[in-house]
Amino acid sequence: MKRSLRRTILAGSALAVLAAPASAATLEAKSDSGLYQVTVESPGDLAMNVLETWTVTVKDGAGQPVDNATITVGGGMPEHGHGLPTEPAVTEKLGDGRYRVEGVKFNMSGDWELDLTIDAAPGADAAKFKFKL
Amino acid sequence: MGRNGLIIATIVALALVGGLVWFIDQPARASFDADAIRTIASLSLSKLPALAPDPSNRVSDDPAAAALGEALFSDERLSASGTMACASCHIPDNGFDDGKLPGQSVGVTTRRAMPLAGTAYSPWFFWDGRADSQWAQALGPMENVNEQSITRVAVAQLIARDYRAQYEALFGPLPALEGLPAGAGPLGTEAEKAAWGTLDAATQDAVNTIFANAGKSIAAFERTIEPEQSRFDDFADAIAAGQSSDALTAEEQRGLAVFVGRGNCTQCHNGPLLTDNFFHNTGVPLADGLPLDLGRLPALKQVDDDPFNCLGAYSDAEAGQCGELRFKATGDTLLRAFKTPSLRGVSRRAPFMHAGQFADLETVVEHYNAAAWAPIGVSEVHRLDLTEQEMADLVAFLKAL
Repeated sequence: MKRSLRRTILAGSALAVLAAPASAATLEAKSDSGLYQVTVESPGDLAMNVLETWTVTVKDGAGQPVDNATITVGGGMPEHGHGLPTEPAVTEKLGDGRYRVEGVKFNMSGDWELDLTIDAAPGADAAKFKFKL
Repeated sequence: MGRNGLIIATIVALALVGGLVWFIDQPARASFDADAIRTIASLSLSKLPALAPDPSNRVSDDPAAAALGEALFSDERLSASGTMACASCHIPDNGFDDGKLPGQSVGVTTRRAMPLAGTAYSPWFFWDGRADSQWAQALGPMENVNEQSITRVAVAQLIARDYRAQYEALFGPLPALEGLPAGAGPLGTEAEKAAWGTLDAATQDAVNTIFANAGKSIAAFERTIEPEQSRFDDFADAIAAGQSSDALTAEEQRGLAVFVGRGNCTQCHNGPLLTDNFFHNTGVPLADGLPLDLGRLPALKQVDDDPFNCLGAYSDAEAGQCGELRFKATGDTLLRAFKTPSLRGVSRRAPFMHAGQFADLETVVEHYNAAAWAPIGVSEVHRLDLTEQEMADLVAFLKAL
């Protein structure tokens, strides 16, 4: 069931398509310069006006987990011209390329974007995730 | 056909034509497509989740605390004058509102009293969100010199005198307080601040704890103040189930269509409480005669500095439960941004906006339609170009909430 929700994102584009999620929503994207394969995962169905903890997973071009990355999380609603209603941040490096991001929240329905920057041994890059709430 | 027959036929024909013209002239009945129905369903009170306990308030769901809190909420002796309680401006029989502009209360305030129903679901309190819990909020007006203007030592002494049994059953034995100066607190007059400064740290901490517990009891009571089922909810539940409904009139239904459509209202007035509990600059005019009010932006530091916030010593929460405070948004878009109030029961709470700038809902809708430049900061509102009919319908809908 979970696999059917994932779509591999093509290089250069990071449009994520979600089927109606029955469990956690997972979005995958290749970073802009192709350094990383990044996944962001919500704890349950995409929800509105709830503060959540998400998990970010970073792998390199060879599919190996990337630890000790510095990750920032931004984003917003491009059509409305505003950012996120909170400032999510990585609060723990979980190992195995996984990172805990706390403070994720979306406060209205519509088209959202999450913009991550990733800085690790392979280099600095950025990944974008788009989804509709 | 005889002459009489011709006259009758003419009259009938004219009546039919007149009827047809009248019918065509009527504004159309609203129809809702699948997207609109989904949005409308999301606004129903039936979608409000159960209220989770407040991790920062260990008595948040304790009925005994709510009983104590209800008594404190209405106790006018919790004021310097002895005549002002929370209930003085949050009048229980009036939807916990006082219908007044700021400055018409006992003191000179700069903002209107806010509605209370359903606020337990919000992470932020006051128009600028400078309190991050219902119990921390309750402490503000008590010590505000423009509102109740009592000090925390006086609050503690009143509880020891008149609420001892109820308090101690919830929070354990009270320390001895009789010898303390009656007017002493860090936020009061110069004399009261000086008196507070004479108390040792242990005494100050003990008083702070009692003060916080008073707030937690009031919060436990306020959590029971729930929004009421409205005709809109009856309508929303019916059409979400695929049934038709007359719970809203044709005019109100057209207004609902504007609300979830061209009015863009659900950008901020969304969810079952019709608020996103966030802060927005909507270009509201400056308030005559009141000091400049910059809203959320300066309140960011106030909430961080509040000793009664989620991360403070008097909170029952672990730091991991204080995500709203730790990850709150900052930045210039919050300049003159104010908290989105719930629209439930809104028609009974004139005047509108943080300083009561708009006397009625017609003026509110006109403001959003025209989308003037913000006097300070950047307004998020854009011109709507609604027709007169649409604006009137929208007002009719708002009155049905």
